[in-house]
Amino acid sequence: MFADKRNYMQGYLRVRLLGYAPERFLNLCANHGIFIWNLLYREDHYEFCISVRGFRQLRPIVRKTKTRIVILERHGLPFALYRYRKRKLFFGGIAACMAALYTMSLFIWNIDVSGNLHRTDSAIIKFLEENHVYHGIRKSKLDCVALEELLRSEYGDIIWASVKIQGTRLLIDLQENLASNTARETVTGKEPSDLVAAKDAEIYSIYTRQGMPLVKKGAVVKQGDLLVEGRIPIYNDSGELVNYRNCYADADVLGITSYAYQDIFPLAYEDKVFTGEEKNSYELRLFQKRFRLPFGENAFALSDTFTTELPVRLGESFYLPLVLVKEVSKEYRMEEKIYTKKEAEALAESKWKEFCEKLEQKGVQIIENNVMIVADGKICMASGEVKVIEPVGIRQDSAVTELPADTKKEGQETNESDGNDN
Amino acid sequence: MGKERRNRVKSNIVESLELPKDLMYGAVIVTVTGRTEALVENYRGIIEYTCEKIRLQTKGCQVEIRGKQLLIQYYTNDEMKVTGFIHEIIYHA
Repeated sequence: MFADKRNYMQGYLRVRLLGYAPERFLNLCANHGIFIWNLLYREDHYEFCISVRGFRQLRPIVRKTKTRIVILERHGLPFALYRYRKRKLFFGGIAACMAALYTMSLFIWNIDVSGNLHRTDSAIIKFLEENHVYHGIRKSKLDCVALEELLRSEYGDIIWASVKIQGTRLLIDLQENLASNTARETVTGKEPSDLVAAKDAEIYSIYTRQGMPLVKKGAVVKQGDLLVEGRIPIYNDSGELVNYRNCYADADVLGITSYAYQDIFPLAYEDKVFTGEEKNSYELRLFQKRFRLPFGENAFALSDTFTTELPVRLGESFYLPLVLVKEVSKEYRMEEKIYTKKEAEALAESKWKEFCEKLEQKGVQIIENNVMIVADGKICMASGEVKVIEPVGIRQDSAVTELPADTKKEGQETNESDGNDN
Repeated sequence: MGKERRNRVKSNIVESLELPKDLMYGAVIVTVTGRTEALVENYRGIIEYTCEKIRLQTKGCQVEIRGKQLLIQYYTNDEMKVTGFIHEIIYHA
């Protein structure tokens, strides 16, 4: 296969060999290293293929063996080029195509972001666009190292970024710090602060690591009540208040709270029924411009449209600025329907379960629920209450309180005397 | 007498050292695939070639391939590939 390609590129001939001692001619060719293939015997002559370069070396051998050579066919690229030498537009087209391909390869046609979990691709691409990195930018204008630093400095939770150019794609690999949110709180929140109740609750458990706990297990608190105070009073031996130490209150406070749940929906509803009618329409997108192809208009009154984008690319990573967009419109009509009692109850139940799951995803523990589902007449109603255990403490900056005037004075004096001693 | 003895010594050496025989004796190698393809290595030259018969000179003997529509797919100084319908391969002393 490879030999065939090479022969085609270099050009070869099919020739006829006539004369008295053709075998001697063939042996001499082999001895001179002239490659001959597809050698065939005909009635009184031989035919074979020989490369152009080999053919040029034949003259002395032909003379020596008193044979004659007749060229039958010419094959290969050099002959084809010679034959089409007057077709200037053809060669111009090839050159233009090469030039276009080369020019296109100087730009970035695809930005691929991977490794991001919290940040969406579009957010990162938008940020890049604000910083003059966009689809269609010249590769030579890109500074990958600077871009990496930019990403890291802009997003605190991106701890590692790698930017590289592959073909016409810009590949961005990120590593996000998943523990950053909690870590930041502990690092930045060392100011004196209290924990207060986020909502009305009954305290289920309280474990204090730092601060003064003000409530006990079983206590009923209202929203805004102080749970753990960051201000710790310091008493002297005689039980008098000497000073306060303001600290960062830290505790796990779990409380029993209740959520009201109500969901009412009518039994009559409209449902989409797909008729099965479909229509395809196509669109071309070149750079930012859209060209609708003339066939396949969407003629339905009510329809859902599903869009598929096919980016045109060469090879693995050479994305061209051309996208073929296929839109499938599926016709539907609205039908009036009525839930049966069972259906309505099942629907209410599933909505209720969804509500509970959402609560549980927030990290609360459901301990009791009493929800009634009633479906009668025209509506279905689900209502009730769910009791959960959840963290109730939220942080609030503590008001740094002044000491009572006399104790303060005393404290200052002691401080002064301490200073003199030293 | 001397030549015979020299041959014996040579073959003893080749046998005991397990040297490749095609290199040491310059022996012809004929590899036949099915009935349609034959590869001849270590030949010296073409003596005769027609559609029914290819006669090759090798170091010790002549090899003749008989068949129908024989075609030399390619040949170089020491290797030749023959395709066609092979009837027989004959060694002439």
